[in-house]
Amino acid sequence: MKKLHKTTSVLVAGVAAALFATGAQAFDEAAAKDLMKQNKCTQCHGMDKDKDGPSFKKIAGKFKGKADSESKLLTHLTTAPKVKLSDGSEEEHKIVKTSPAKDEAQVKNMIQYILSL
Amino acid sequence: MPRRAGHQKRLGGEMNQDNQGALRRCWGALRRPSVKYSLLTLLVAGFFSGILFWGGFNTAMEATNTMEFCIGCHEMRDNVYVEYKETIHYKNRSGVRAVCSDCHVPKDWTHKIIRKIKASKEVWGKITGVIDTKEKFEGHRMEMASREWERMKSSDSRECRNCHNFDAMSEELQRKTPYKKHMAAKAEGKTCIDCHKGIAHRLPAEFEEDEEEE
Repeated sequence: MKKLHKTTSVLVAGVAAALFATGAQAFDEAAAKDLMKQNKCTQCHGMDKDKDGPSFKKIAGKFKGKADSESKLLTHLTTAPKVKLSDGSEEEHKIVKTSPAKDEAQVKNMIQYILSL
Repeated sequence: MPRRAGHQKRLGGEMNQDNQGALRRCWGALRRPSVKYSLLTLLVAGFFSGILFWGGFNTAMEATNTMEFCIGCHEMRDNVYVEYKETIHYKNRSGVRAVCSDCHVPKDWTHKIIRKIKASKEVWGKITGVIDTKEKFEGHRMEMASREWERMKSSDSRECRNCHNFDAMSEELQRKTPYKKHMAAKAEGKTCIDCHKGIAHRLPAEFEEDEEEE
């Protein structure tokens, strides 16, 4: 029985390591897209077209590969910082709403998806 | 021969011995002019029972407009109600709440009664269990949401406008981008639901936001 436990934990660790190793793919794309949809992100950000805000592809290009990109974007999406719109005006960025409320894991998952674009 | 039977009864006052149905006898009694009560008594009695009936009818109908009634069924309580509880129409800084019927049932009587009659289909849906599981609910979400969006669009978002009004939006107090978009929407003759879908409930999985929409 003990041996089985050991094997299982080794397996779990292995799978987790594999997931981390693939990096870019360690997110749930469907969940990320759904959160994006529920928050209507595309009203201001096109996938590859700039609107009031920059396109997601542009954002990914700017942040990809940087060590603190996730935490920076997390702050951006959860604290309503002032952002400059394409017409030059300034406004508070919308706070991403999750269900249950303030679930950072969901926002992080979406950030990973955006970074993969 | 009902008329003849009634006639005989009126003249002779005898109980009919033949097998007349109870319904037929009732109908006969209703059609006979009263000999006992004055027209005034009948009118006054009719007037008050009319008030009672009408009051009762409206009270019962209003009871079906409460949130408690709506979430009396698990189909609403476990799905849309849970989602709505996280939105601004449930809880907000000023403490104004819009309950289910505020958005989903018209306020004026004519449109309300039409909606209530149409809602009998929803009662049938409850009986037959069309959306009695989470999976079934999600399976029908797009169809149900589309029906509601269509209803709102066709009435120029009448239920939203019971509280919201383009002219009541303050340029100073509303954020710039929404204000700009609202004024553009007003000029274009757009209606609330054109942009504000999925504000109190989750958007269906099949729903795709128009990427071009500004």
